[in-house]
Amino acid sequence: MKKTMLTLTLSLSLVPALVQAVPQGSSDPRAIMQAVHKRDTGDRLQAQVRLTIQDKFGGKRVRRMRTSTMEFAEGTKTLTIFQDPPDIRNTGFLSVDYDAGVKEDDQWLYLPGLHKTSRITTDNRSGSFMGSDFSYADLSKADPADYDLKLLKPSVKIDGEDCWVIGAKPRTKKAKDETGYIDLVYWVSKQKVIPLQIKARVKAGKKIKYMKFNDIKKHGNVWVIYKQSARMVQKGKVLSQSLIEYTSAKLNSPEVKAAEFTPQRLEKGL
Amino acid sequence: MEPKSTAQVEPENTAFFARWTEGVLRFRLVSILAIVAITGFFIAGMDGLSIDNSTERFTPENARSAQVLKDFRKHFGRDDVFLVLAEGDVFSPAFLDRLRSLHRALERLEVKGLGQGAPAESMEEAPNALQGIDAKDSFGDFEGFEGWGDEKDGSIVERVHSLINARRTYSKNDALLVERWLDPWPTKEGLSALRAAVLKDRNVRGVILSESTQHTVLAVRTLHLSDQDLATVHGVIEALVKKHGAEDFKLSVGGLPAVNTVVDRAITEDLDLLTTLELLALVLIMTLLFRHPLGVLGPLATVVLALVWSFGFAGWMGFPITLVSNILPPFFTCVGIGDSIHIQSLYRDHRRSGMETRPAIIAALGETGLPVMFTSLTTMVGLLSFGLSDVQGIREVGFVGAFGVGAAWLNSIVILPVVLSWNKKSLFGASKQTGNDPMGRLALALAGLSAKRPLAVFLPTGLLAAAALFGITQVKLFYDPLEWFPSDAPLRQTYKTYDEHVGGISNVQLLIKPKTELGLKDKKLLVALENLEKHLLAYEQPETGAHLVTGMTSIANVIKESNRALSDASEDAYRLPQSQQAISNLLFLFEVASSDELRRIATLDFQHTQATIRIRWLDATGYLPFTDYLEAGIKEHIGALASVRPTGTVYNLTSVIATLIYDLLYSFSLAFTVIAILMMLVVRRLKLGLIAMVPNLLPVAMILGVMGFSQIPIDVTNLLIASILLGICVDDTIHFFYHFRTSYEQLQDVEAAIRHTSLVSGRAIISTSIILLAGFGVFFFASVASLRQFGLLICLAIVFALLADLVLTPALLRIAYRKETT
Repeated sequence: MKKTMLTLTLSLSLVPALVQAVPQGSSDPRAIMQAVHKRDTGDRLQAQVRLTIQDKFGGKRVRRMRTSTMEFAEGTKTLTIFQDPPDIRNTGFLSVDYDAGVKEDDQWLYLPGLHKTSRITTDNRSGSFMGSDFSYADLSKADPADYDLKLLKPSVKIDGEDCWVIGAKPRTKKAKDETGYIDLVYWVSKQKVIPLQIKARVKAGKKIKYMKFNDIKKHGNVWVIYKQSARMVQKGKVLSQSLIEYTSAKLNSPEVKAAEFTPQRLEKGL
Repeated sequence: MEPKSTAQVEPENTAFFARWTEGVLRFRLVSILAIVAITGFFIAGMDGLSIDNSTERFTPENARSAQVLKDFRKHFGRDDVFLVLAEGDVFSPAFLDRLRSLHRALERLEVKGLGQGAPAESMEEAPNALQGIDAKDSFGDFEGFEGWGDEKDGSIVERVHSLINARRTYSKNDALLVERWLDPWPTKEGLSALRAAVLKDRNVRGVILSESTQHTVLAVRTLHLSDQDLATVHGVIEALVKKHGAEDFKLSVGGLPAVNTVVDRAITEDLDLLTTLELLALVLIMTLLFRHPLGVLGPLATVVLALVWSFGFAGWMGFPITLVSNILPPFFTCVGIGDSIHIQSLYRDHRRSGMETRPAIIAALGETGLPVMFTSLTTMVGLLSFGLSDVQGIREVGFVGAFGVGAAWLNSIVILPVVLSWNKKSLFGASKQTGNDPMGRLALALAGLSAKRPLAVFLPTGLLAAAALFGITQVKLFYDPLEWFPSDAPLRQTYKTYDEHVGGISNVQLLIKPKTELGLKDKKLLVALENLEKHLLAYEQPETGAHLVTGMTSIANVIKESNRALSDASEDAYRLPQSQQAISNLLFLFEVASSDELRRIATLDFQHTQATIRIRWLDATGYLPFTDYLEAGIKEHIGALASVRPTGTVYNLTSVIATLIYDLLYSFSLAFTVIAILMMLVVRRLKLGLIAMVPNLLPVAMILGVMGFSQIPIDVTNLLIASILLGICVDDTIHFFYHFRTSYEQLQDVEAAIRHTSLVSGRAIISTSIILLAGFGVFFFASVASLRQFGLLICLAIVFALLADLVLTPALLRIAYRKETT
């Protein structure tokens, strides 16, 4: 499965997460990560998103966008329309993220200045998402089957919440290639069954990527992460950091309809 | 008229120096302890010594390009990269396998034991806003991470760019594909087609791949490291390259950090070698001259202490050793020896005439203390004149040099008398009869050349002076750090191969701040950049007609490349689109596909962009017409659309050249003026002071003339030559004129005064000249070519100065004082 663009943004953390049961008293890392993977992420989400990137020179870039996501039989579709800065207003992305083994993902980019919708493919899932510190792989659900897992600590408090600390190492070539990680450590909230933070060792340059998930709000039975940040560190120095925030989010939005998710709709813009 | 006996001359005694020496000898232990304490202080300072030959060290601080470079680094970081050049049949399976293996190894490069020295520039120059970031800020609270910010492991390589990860963006079946040229890994059968396709890619051919596909480059950008750490990293890369190299995969390392490291290494080796040889030569010659261990120990102690103090001073002040300051140790040695010899020679004369050791020391210091002080002062002035230079490396040499000369002087009037006081019996090899020693006879013979026919001296001197003046007009400026090494040096070969086969290894970087509302996406600006590129590609070198610019990469190229990629890779589509919105869209597309690469040419806030112009390697003077052409092009094509400020290798090199001219003229003029005033003070006669400037200036003029005729250009390493020569010439001249004035005042006979002076000063001048020749002769063993040339020129100058003082000066004095004597 190859997931791209905001499909991925929404599928891991910005997508609401419904608590998935972990067997009572279990500390089996596979069972825990399976619960994380299988958690209900809700449906028909509409959100306003702000992406902020800061580099090591202090420069910042801020992008605002409106995004809608919807599940369908074979996977998830996401439509993203950029709102700001003005010169990319109405530029749109449509991502179709197929479940594992169904078929290759599709991604269309509409460029209003060229009146052209173009399909984009990229193999580089470990590459940066929109210039941020998140890779496409970060923003997709990691299948526990692709990893060797180990419970590192049964109980650690993070932001006041009791967490499991689980080590994960990609074991399949696909997982190794797609993530570009040597290994990862997850701090998984026992209450919400979603990671509160992740530390990943990046193969290229042996950098360390720190990811944090904050401002987690409950919509019905589903947890929605409003704020996720990442920092890339190399030899003790922060190279850059990124923040993806929901400024508003709505689940089961009646405005999110299947007809929205077509290349033709892309061309209409906002 | 028979010359009067020189025995009639009572030497002028300077009461201060006599009393000073009495004090030193009375409190020998205190004097030694004071010297030991000072030496301890400076030994402690030597811990802070470093080596630095970065281009910045020789770039004028107030030069516009240096300011632009600082601003450039604020926005885009350092652009120093190691370049690993790989030679062989690039599109063969074995070569590509090896290339991939090397690329991966470079990406993973870990180097232990780094953290030496401060990063090459201060935070102010390159504010790294996130380096000192708090664990908790508006981006999130990272305090909960165990070991947050503590990780010291990891590769020191930020990015390796080579054929292995070269991007390929194209469109197929209405889909834009962003892939890598070598992904999937090519089969043997597919290599030929791949070669043809890759050669069409503007981002590859002429950038990391040669047209013949026999050369390719891996550009290795490291984290921001200090020069010392970069030197360590260079060593590790060289070892890695050695391990990965093969007959069909020849590897070599280049790039600015490599140049700096290789120069630093050469300097360290030369410094050790030259200082050792210098001291050996000194011991040998002093043994021959003074025939007693104490006759060697005093001058040797003076020199060694001067060296230690100077290095300690440099360490305390934070002045690194550079290619320029490398000439200082032999210079201090010569200066220290010069002071000691003049004192020790007189001491020997007094011992020969029957004086006891203690009064002989006091008398020697009393008589020659003043001229020794003046010679030190004049040399210090010569060196201090560099303290006003705009170039940090030159300025530091001025300060350390002047300090070392002062240290040599102080030790020669403290430690030397103490050492001499331990001598009870030796005459230090003196013959019983004055004037019968070979040096005395030689000095008299040289002075006698103009006794009967002054024209026999003036005519050849005049001809030589005229030739020298003509030669000076032929002197050229030159600055090319690569020329410091032999033509077969690996580093030069790497640069040459890269430059000839891959693309220009030199560059100009334009820091562009758009002034219009649309900023760097403004179509008018992009069109202007496109026109500037055409303008630059059309440039031909005035002498050869060859094209200098091999390519330019700017935001305009990025947009054209994206446009082409969206249009089935059609070459016709390699152009800027019509509408402004289309341009914004293409830039966005590029950002989606290659955000890392966009970051290298535009700041995150899009307020600044940069363009890189790749240029063939020339010496700095070769770039001067080009920079004029470039700036005219910027004015014509960009105008008010943006502020465009150039920097980069070419500008660093040319600003050094401009400073060379200024520093050379300014420092020499200043040194000459101050020295002329000091000369008049020391000889206390305006006429004598003016005559003295002839033997001071003539050797300098003749050496510059020799440089002109033999096409030895003035560069950073020999920039100091005129002022140093002046310092050397002045030393001999001061001693000669000082003794002439004192003897003439008593004898009132020019011939007798010349004879006396030739014996008293002439011998010391010949002795110091021999030592100076040996001292600067050791430069012939230097590995850096320009240092060898420098040694040769100084040696020639010492001979000219000797002849000017012992042959020309008596002739001038005979003419000037003929009437008075008659």
